[in-house]
Amino acid sequence: MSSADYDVVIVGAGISGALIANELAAQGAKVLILEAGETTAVRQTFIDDFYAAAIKTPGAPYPATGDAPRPDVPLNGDWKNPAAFPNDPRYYFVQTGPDAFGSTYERVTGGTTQHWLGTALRFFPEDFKTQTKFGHGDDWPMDYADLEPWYTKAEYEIGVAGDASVDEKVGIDHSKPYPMQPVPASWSDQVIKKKLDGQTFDGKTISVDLTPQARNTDYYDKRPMCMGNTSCVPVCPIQAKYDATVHLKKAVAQPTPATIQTQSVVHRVEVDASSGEVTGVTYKKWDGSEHTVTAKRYVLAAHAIETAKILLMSPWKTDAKGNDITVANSSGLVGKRLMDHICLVAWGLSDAPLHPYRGPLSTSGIGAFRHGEFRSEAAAFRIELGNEGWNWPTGAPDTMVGALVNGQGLFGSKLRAALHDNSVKQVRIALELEATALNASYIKPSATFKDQFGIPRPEVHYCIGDAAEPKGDYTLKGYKKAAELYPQLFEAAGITDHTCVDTKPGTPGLFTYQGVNYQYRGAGHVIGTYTMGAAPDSSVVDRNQRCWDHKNLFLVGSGVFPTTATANPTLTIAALALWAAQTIANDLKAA
Amino acid sequence: MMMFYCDFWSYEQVKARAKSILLSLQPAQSGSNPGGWSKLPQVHVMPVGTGPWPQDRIDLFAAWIDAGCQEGTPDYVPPTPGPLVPNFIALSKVLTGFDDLDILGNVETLAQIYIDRIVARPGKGGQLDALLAKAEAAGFDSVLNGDGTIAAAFASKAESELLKVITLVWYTATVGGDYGTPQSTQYIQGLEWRAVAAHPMGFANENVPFYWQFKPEGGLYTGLIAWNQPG
Repeated sequence: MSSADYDVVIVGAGISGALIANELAAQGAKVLILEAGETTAVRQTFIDDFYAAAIKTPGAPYPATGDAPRPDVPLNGDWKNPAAFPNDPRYYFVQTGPDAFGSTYERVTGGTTQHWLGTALRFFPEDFKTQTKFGHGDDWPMDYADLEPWYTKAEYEIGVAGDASVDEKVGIDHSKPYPMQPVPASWSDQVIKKKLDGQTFDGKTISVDLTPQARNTDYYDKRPMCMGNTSCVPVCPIQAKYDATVHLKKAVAQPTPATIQTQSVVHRVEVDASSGEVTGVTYKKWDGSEHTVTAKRYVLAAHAIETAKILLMSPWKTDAKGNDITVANSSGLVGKRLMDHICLVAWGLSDAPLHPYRGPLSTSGIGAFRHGEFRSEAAAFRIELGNEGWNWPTGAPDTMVGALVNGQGLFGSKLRAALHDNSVKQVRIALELEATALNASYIKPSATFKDQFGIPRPEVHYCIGDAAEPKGDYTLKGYKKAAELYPQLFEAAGITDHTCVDTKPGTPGLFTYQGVNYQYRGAGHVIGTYTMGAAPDSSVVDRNQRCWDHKNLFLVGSGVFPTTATANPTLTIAALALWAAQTIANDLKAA
Repeated sequence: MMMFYCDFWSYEQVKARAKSILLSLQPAQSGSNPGGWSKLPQVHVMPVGTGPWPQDRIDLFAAWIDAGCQEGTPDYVPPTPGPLVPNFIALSKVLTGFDDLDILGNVETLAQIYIDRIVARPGKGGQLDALLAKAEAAGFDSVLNGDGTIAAAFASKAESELLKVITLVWYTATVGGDYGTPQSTQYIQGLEWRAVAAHPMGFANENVPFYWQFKPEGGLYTGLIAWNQPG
């Protein structure tokens, strides 16, 4: 392997790729990052595009066209019909499952941390052992104590503001405090906290607590403190919120600088059939030319869907019947167990002014239902309190203006007063459900629909429940529990419920369970398509995120999570990436 | 008006504040400024862009000031306010409930941009002139009833539709459909944010640290108040 072009080739310039590149470059390794999308050097362009966008989706600031198409939020009625829009990049996903996959990702430098919220929660210790403790899901091949040092390192790398005592009260120990003081609670959080704290619901005593966030509350790592622009998703105008371009810049500034090559769409992993070692990755540049690059170690960090797709497009041997076996897939699990934290979004009007539309999009949450014995029966969930009124579910205030003017025929000072009185009392919460790993929920390369290079688009066959699998309705049971809980919380907090479920057929996220209609939204947390585990027949990678089948190939990102738990995944992604970087560094030293 | 320090799209405003801007561009020496990369702690220049300006660009800006702030040829020339503007603004004040429509000090220009966008809607070009003339003759206040609904004399289908569009464009910078894509500067001037007592999402310039923890009072803690209000 001495003739390899690089020590390490990393596919994807998101948070995992950026952290690994920086760690390895700092140790003198020669690193190449291949990124399918464009560079994001000029933030002003994204901000202008966001301001001008009529519908401000998570992807609104980022290039919608170009040669690295990416998914957009599913649209009413159309999400299941890719054939109607074969050339529209917004229908990049070919959705064939019973349920709509509502989450998206970005294909740009910085990856999906460009539009992430910034929530940086740790897992509970019990989240790593749900099979042992609750008979649900697969245990992780590690304990909380194994990951704790990496959580701490990740919190200092990306800059997390938080109060560790919130975690320690519920058994999530920290070996060091967070690097920054917590982001203060919004006025809205404070009003709700006064009404809810100490009350018991469903056997759990409620505490509204500050959320740890990768958002500066001080000048940290040469970035400013948060000024409360209330647009964390999709773009922080001042980069007070961490995004992975921070570590891309560090990686290219190391004494042995990493190389970032954009507009390079990797579509195949090359493997030596006799040794099983990866011998290169092949990519198409946007000019259409095809290239293969070699390295001593390879890292796929292209997000849970693209990474699984690349693997499934890479046959390297055949089985006894002559069927292709694709890279890393001797377990047959690549692409399977696609998960997301489906969200029950609930909204209402408070009896007291809460003054939303100010501050980071969320500053507090309720963790009581994230952990406990009930998880042997039903999915756990986290409750996030929003600071952006009804903006997420309804598109307010724009839509509220429209309703008052077009619907009620109000103008002048009456319009202004009505908009004010309604808006200042708006509140939104999201109950984000633990998922269940289902083999019936999967992604694979579409046999029919291709992108402009002829590379298959992702076929997403998503489901949130499957009666044929063990505990197949685990998430649905939890959803029902969440749906019964939130009205009680609203009542106790003096909030009148205005949540509505759109029962029109074709509505993304609409489902029926035990005779009741519900409607979920995607959390943007794409999880589980190349699971890690303790044995090669039941997982794709080991605890170091090294492929069982190919010792010089690493798969990183939330695709390795065996279970979703209830924490937003990014901090755990970062911690695991730093762990993988250490393993790769040790490999290179040993060679 | 002038809730913001400076409209950087405006030659006149940048010229007027050029020395202050130059001072703000001086980078922090120690890296300990909580506001960001500027030497001045009260400056949080947004957006952050690619970070501090390189010295050669700062020198170029200083040279531009020394040469008397010569006006170049702008990429975008905003429309010149036309004859409909005074009546359009008078009617818009009644319809929106805002006596002061001016946020960036360019209300006549903004009004002409909105007029152009409204008139550009297919098949509806000539109606605005007639409506404005009729409203002027009747008195602008007479367009609405006391309960905020449209008065009977202006309630024809075409007229009420136009009154709605005028109101919506001031509040949300949209006119329905794509007739004239709203520019980013129009979004941040939407009146809906002032009605809500909050800043446009993605555009806060309150200088009170962590302002969102406070209940808005006396116009403070909305995210809308700049650290310095010239004029």
